[in-house]
Amino acid sequence: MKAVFQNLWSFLNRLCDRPTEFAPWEMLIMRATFAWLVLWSITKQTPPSSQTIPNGLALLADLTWLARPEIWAMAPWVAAVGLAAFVIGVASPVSLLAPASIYIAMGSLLKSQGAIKHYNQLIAMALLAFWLASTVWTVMRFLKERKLSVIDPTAMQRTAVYWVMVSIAAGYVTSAFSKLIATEGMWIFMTPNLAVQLVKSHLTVFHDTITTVQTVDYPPLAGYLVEHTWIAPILFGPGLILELFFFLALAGRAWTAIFGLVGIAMHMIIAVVMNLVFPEHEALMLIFFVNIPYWLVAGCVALQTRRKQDFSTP
Amino acid sequence: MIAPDKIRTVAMECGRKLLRLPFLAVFAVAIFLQIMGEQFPFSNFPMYAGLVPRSEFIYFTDYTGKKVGTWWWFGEGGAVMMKTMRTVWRKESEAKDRRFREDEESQIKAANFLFDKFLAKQPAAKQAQILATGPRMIYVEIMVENGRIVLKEKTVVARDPVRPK
Repeated sequence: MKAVFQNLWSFLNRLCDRPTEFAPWEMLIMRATFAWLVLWSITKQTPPSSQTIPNGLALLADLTWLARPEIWAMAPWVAAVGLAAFVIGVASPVSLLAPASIYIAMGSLLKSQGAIKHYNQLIAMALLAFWLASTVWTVMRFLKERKLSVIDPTAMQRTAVYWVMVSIAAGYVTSAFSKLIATEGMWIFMTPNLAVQLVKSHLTVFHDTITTVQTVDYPPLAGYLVEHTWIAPILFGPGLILELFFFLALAGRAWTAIFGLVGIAMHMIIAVVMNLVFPEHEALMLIFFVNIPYWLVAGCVALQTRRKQDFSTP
Repeated sequence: MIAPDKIRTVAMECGRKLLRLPFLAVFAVAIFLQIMGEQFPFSNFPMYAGLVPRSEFIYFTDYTGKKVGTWWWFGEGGAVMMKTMRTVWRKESEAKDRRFREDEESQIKAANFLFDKFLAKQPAAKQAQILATGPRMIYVEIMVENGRIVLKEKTVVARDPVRPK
């Protein structure tokens, strides 16, 4: 028993975060898919022409100029040019400046209408993290070595991707903090109250379009959760634990992939149970955490090595 | 008396050890986000944080009580409209009474403000079409009472049908 605890302790002691040694081709795929995600997110929404209740950047400046038709017609193109340069690895501190500014200004304007939804904060934070990390890295290198390069060095890209992952993981960890702070640590025991949220989200979605006939007053699961209060902690408790321990996603490639997959699974369950979808969050997980291309290549290499070994053994 | 050099050395050593703490970056950013709160692009992601046993939503009907999809009228989901109404309602109540208390008069005012705001975003023809139906906004409160889910409805906006000229 003592040996088990010793092994566990030494395993936990070895857990730490460090920038993953991503290969340049992995980061090229990450940048390309992330750029596509940012552009898709920009083009799927139209900024409103007023900021009734200013939020974020809108507290510091009037951003309504962005919603002017002639400006908004141009903005996605400007962002696209910056993102294209970013994908091929040209001076991220410069190429990401326009897309990050447009995205954050647009997001601030959208959140300045009195209703804050949480579908694009993680993309904005990831964009900001990439730009900030690459800029700080470039400035530090210039101060130390008096060197500047047009093409992003691999070390800088790794640092920037690490900070993107940090910002995403911190988003989940802080979400767990919010739950624990608001309920004085009793969140799991209060989960039966999620039944009313479940009713709200289902009935809101139903009344948005009314494409089906309403056969029940509310989803039967909600009533079941209220009647059997022990089910909700089992159903929703793991979500809080996952969020709270999401920092472990930075402990190495395997941890990253596992947390990415479990995170996507969590969002898929939320989509089924609460009728709330977060495609942007799932896409970020897929790009930076699950990292399918790496595992495909690693799997192929492992298979080939095994075959070679099989042939070489008499 | 401890020598200042000694204090500096110990402080430097503590700082170095602190910086070497695993996952420090994630926790530092998480705490920063918690402090910043809801200020885009930052957020403390408070979705379903305070689990109170009550919630609310709104929907729309015509004057006969026939339900109409929120999207078809306003091109916006009920979730956004409810959040906006809540923000305005809170502001109305706070402005009236320094001690925060949500009263019915402020609710009706906020609901009508919200209705007019989203109606004004529609083209003139659509506005006329909506007003011709005698639109009603229904506010629904969801609660748990005696171990059962209870829905309480209240009409917060009621406009008479306006015939198109």
